[in-house]
Amino acid sequence: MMPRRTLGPLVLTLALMAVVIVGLVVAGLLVRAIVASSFSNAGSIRVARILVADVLREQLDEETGIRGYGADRNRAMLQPYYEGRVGLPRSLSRVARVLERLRMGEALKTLADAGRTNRRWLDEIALPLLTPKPGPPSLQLRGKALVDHFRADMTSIDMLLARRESSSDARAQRAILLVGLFALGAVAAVIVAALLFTIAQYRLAVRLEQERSKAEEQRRYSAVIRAAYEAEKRVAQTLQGAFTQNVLPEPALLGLGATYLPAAEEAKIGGDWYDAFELPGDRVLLAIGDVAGHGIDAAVAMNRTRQLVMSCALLDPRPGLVLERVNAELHRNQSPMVTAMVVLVDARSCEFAYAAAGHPPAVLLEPGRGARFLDVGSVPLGVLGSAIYRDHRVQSMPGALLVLYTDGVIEHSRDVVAGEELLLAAVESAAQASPATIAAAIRYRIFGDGKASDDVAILTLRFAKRTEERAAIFEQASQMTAVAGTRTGHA
Amino acid sequence: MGASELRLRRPARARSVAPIRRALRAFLEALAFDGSALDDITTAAGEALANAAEHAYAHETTRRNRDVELRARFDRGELSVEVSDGGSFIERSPLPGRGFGLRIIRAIACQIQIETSRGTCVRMLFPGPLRKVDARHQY
Amino acid sequence: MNESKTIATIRLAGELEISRKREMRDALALSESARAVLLDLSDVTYADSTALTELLRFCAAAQGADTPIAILIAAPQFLRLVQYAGLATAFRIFQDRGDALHYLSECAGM
Repeated sequence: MMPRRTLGPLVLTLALMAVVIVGLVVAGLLVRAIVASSFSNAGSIRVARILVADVLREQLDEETGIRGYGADRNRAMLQPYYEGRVGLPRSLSRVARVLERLRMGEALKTLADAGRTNRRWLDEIALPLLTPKPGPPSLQLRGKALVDHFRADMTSIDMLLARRESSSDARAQRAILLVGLFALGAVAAVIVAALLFTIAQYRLAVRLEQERSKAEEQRRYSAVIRAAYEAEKRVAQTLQGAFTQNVLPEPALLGLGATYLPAAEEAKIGGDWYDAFELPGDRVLLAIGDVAGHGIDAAVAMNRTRQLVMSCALLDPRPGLVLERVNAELHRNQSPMVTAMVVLVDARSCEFAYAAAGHPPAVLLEPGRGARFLDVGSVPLGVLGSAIYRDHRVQSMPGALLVLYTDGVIEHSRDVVAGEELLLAAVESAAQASPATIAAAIRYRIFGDGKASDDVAILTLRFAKRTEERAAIFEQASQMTAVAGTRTGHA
Repeated sequence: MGASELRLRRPARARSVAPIRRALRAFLEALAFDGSALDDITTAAGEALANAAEHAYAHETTRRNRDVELRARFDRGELSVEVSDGGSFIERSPLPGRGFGLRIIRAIACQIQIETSRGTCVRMLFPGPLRKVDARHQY
Repeated sequence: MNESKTIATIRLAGELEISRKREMRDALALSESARAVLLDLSDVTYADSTALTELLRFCAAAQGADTPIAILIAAPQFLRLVQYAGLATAFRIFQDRGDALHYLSECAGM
């Protein structure tokens, strides 16, 4: 289907060509007609001129005959006169016919005049001579005048005819020239039309090509977007699946436990994480964090933060410094906001130092004392490039329980205060459980069998109470499989 | 009962934000929103408007029309609030980075959609005042 | 801003939003002599993320100068805004002036 816009010029071109062809044909016919008429004219003129010569000859015959008789009075001399007298009127009328055909009115008048002159000569000169009466000698003079007049007429007719012939020629030449020019112009017009048509076609082809490539580009673009989408989903699922089943370390003198409960709503990628690893000198570093948001950005930020924490801690495990370094890096990369807490624990002295970045406060339950929050105000990571994170030192005791968690634990009902109170109560009630199961116990105490609307991660650390207990813990821990891993997401 | 709609279009400038926000608040009050829902929806819309005022045309040099448009529609128990402008999303400082606007909106709205094909349009959905308020929005 | 012993008070009221960004920034300035700052925002009726950003900047500067800050907030919208932004632990927010001053004297006294 051809678009309407190309039909116009095409029709125009065809029409133009048709007109030109018709014009050329007409011109050709015209030329032929002109040339033919010119030729026929020429022919007629030549015939007429011959006839005029005949007329003159015949008149001369008449004259010769009469003169001869006049001189000799011999009737035999009159032969040419008789012939001329018969032939001349006939020739005159033939000339008249041609002149009429040639529409030479002027010449016709002259011819008529010549005819009259001849008749006068016949009446006034020839006839009187033929009758027996002798004529006056002045007749000859008068006769000559008439004859001269007649000759002059016929000569002028001949001249007119000659002029007519040449002008007819000229006219024919002009006509042919005009037609020739017209033909040339027509050819030029055809060429121009063909050119325009070609240009129009070319432009159309270019436009079609442009639109085709644009459509192709659009197709490719949406395919790219689709592919990116698929890739993102795949990466996220890979991260989801490939969480390292982090076995919690089993340091002597410390009992570690953890639990992780994914959110109830749609599978979110990214979210909470926790890490615990041993450092030389009977030290353990605990870290817990929470990345806001979903999707690939959150997952990447979470992974990066985890790795940063670990590498910074291996460099220098002071919690405040770790957070400052991690914060600087996250801020530089315009990462989404991350809340985190880092705790450096000395197992032998039961002392620990912690630093927090916008994270809910840890809970400390010490023997003989109710559970309390280790409150510290702080800015989340990635918000301020120049945020300062300070170490807070706590000297604790054997038997003490430290609980780190993410905000899903206290914000499940949006009433944060109630959530906090519930957490404290849960910690107190779960304190007597074995270290590996405290976290799960706390979780159960808060959520029961239900699901939370946000990710929930709990990491617990217990300072072993007595030597016997320490040994027991150690044994118990070595028999337990890991309760939960460090998840990067959840199915 | 048919749908109610509020539509406002103003130049995307800092001082345009408060009047639009107040108009939205009045509109919500007329629809019997109150208490925390009234505050929260106004806050969310205010954040979207402030973001448009601050970033929408920051990098534009040629655009003559630098408007921001708020369109709030309450239909069949559901409220949708759209804040749209002609600015390009790419040019802005990334919302999920250090700004809190999007984080706040995400915490409040049931659902948000950000469309960046023609300018930027942030669309937020909230439950109506007569629906049973779920735990997410209750205090 | 008036100095009361060693605690400086900065007071802002009305709507703390984008159109008053410059004003907020100018008001939230640390003075050399203040050992602690009480930021009285109890008459603020509405706040947006611009205000939060300015507060953060102020608190970060104060932390660098080892100056404790207590913020008085009364409007429920403002309190919820801080929660939604995930900054509940970033600021020391009080609803009672006495509590705020008590906290500050404790910090400053340390």
